[in-house]
Amino acid sequence: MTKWNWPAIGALWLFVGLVPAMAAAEEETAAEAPAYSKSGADTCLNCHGDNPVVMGIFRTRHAQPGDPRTPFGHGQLQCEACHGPGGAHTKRPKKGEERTPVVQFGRGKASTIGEQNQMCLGCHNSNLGNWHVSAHDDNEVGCADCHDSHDPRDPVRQKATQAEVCKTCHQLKVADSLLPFAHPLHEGQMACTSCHSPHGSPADASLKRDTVNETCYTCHADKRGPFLWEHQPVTEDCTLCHKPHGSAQAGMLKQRPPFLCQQCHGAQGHPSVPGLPAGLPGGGAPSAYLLASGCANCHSQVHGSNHPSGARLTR
Amino acid sequence: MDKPNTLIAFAVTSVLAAGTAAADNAAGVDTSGWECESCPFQTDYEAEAEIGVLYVDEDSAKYGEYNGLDQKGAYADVNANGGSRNESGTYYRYDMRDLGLDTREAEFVFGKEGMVEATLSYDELPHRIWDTTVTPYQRSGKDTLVLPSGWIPAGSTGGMTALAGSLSNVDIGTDRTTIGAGLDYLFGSNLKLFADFSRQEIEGRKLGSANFLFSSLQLPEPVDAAHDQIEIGATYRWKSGFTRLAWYGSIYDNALTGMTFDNPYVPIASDTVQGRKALAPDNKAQTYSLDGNFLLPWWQGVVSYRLAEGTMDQDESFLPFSTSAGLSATAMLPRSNLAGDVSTSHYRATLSLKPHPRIRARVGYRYDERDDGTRPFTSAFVDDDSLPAPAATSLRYGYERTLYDGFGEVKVLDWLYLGLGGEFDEIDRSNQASKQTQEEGSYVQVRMRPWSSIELSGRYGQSHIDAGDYVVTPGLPPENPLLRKFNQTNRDRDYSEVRVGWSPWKLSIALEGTYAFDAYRLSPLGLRSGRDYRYAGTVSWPVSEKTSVYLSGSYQNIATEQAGEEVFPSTANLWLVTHEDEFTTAGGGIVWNDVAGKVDVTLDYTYAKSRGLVDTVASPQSSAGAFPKLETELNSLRLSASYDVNERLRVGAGWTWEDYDSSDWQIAGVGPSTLPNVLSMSPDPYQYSVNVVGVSFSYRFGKSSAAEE
Repeated sequence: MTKWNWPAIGALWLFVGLVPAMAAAEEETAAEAPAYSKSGADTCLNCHGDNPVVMGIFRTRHAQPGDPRTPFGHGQLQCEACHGPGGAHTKRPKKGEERTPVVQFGRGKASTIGEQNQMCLGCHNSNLGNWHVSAHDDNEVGCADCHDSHDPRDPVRQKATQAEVCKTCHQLKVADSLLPFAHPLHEGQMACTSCHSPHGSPADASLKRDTVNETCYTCHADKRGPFLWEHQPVTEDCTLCHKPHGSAQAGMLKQRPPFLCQQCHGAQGHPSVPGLPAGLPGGGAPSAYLLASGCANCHSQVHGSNHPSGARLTR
Repeated sequence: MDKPNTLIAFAVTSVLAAGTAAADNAAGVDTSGWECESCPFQTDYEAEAEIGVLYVDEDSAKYGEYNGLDQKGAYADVNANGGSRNESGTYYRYDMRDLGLDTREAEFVFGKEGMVEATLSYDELPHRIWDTTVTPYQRSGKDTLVLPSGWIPAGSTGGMTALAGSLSNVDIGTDRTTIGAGLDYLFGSNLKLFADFSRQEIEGRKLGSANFLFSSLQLPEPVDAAHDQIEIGATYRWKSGFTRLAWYGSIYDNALTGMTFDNPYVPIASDTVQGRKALAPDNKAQTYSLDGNFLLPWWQGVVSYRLAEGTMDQDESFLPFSTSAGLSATAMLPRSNLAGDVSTSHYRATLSLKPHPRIRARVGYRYDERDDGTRPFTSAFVDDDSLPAPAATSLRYGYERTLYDGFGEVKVLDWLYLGLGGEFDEIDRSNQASKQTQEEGSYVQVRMRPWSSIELSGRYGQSHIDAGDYVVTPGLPPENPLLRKFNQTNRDRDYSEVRVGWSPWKLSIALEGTYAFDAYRLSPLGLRSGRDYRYAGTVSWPVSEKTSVYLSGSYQNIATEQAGEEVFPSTANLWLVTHEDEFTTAGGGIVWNDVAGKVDVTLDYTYAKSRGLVDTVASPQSSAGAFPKLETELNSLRLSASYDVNERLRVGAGWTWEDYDSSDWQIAGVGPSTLPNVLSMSPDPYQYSVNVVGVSFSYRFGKSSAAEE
């Protein structure tokens, strides 16, 4: 690997990036505060009331008149809580002019992703405490890229359909769910959010719990211990041996035994005996180190043992 | 100051710093005249129920792995959802799915808007693993496996003359049932109290194994455990941020402390006709946490933080050293249980800023600690219910991890963003060959949108791990000093990724590619290198408002190289293994809605193929070479259609054909007595070709959608 000169790259980035950006600063001007509509949603629905997609909002949590925190709660801004002030939008445009847009959601719309997300974060900051440090924010993902806030059964909030939404960007990760051994994502019995917090989290890979292991323990608490006899990588990080998105090896292992085990264990004696084709059935000397469960034929307690005679993780 | 007090002090500081609570309608607009008279809020009962039947034409554990359709036969297909709300804001909703299947689930939600919401849930998840496994063991109890009365022990499986006549089929798999309850209670608009409880119950069998020194056996290992989790806390929303204080508790309760199994081999010690292994011990964990953020008044700054302190405890009583009374007497337990006591700490703070409309940046700090305060345990023991063994000490493993990371991005042009990020990650481990690893990583990121129909992003990065001194723990037999554990050795990594989103005409094209290469330069033995490249693409075409088509595909190739030494130091005994795993997927489908205003049709095809090549070099080379290919191939076709008889009644029908084929040299041809020293359960590589047909009727109750419009 040719090691890059990262300090020099940083300096170059500052020069190439910051100089034009600062020069463009004067282009940015503060917009005049626009006006809201005269009658709120009643004004909007005069034109949009026959659109079933728009009307879906009234079967969602956003439309709870009894909850003052929601856009349709008492005293709130209704459609304009999310779409922004619509006063100018409701005015008939002059001939040859476009109607003044409100905040529109989705990729490729007139509103920038930053403007869109700001509308959502205005209310949802407390749900999204780590949004500002998330990989999704780093890549300027819009809330509406994943959510359909007018759909009473927003696909990304349904366990059975969520992966299809995530697949829009994370094709490779979702494809892994078709590997021979995988969590039941493809079957719709588990969601990406069973492990990940797409709105950001303090943990690696936006995991729901503080570490990989603490996330895994929510379903696999039998691996938590502490055990009398522990296996060091198990206590540190499950993904040292496992591929949680799917694997061609049973148990979602990165590699099958004995090869996986021999990436760390090579003591003289049977741990260093190579797995070779001569050890296959029909090869004359079928090998217990290679076949069936490989090393785990004997060392079955690889996650740890609480047996006083479990020092070799066999009991 | 102890740790809980630290959290409380920080909470108070957060409250003082965050300022006054937020006001309703932050824009200050007078909405008293906004009656929302044309808003069709739900005021009645609305529901939809579906009832039907499915028929599966073949038994297959693999097909039914997570859908429960593992047995040939008919299944009821029952689903229902609905809810009601009255004008006072009281509501309830329910959603029930797969009630006739082993994947049944239900959720009930009820509450009063702006005040309280309660949730009850139920969920079953089958995990069918093998239906081709056999065993001579009979169960005399859940945790006791016995051999048939006429069993004749032998020194090897070939001598077990009663084996063939004793085998019976036993399915391997588990059922997980989760029940849950949640409650959110609001005090005003800003304070929310929450409580969530769940209980998972897991029962069944997994394929386990055990041994008597160098002779082993696979066996159906019982699973019967429950896992309770509860989280309670409060969230307060400020005008400039929020604060959340929570407690999480987890109790794992295994009904089985251990399991015993008859020894099918000639015992090494005369009275070890049985063996016993421990099963996962009961254990508990808890975490106190404080989360929140402050929205700074300048540069759109946000400070996010989390402080969490936890413990993990385990005090399950130890089993005896052995089933053999004589062998057990050769050692004495130093204490009756582990009194395992691990404390965990997680601190995270980040600052994100937008000092200029074209510039954003964030920096972060994280600290994680796993401190195992369990007293070490030193004792002689009994090797596999067979022989006395000299004293060993149970090492306790802990680590401290400190991470600093940062990212900055500049909008150079309206269509071009340049980003730069990096991190420094230091891990200190106890009782390990490498006491400390330090990883430095940096990356550049480019995002661009040169035209409105195209978005591109790319990232290239490097990281380097420096593991410092590597000191092999002395032991017998000695570990090879040239072998370094891959998580504790120097590693150089290059990685890159590219994403493209392109929408020419009405098409939508998404492409993704990644590449990574790891070099373990100081590891002559063990894992020496790894290389991984993947790409994927999807094309979607909304042919019309009613019809859409998609095609997708992906490919990944992962290769690793590892080495070992059978006798050392002696390069003549060096062996080398290379792995190359390929995985290809392809799929396509068409959705055709509203045909003649009445019919919806969906057709979906999925293909997935994996191939694993393992090649070896060793001395003598005649024993080495390439293993047979490891292969799996899946073909799946799904066709579904529905017909709207009227605005309330819908008839649906579906057909799924799925074909799966696999070859796996690790289990193929390995019968119960193929290996002289492993009594195998002989699972077969998966193969099936399943058809599932179904028909269903669904009916909508309550106010119809047409009436609403």
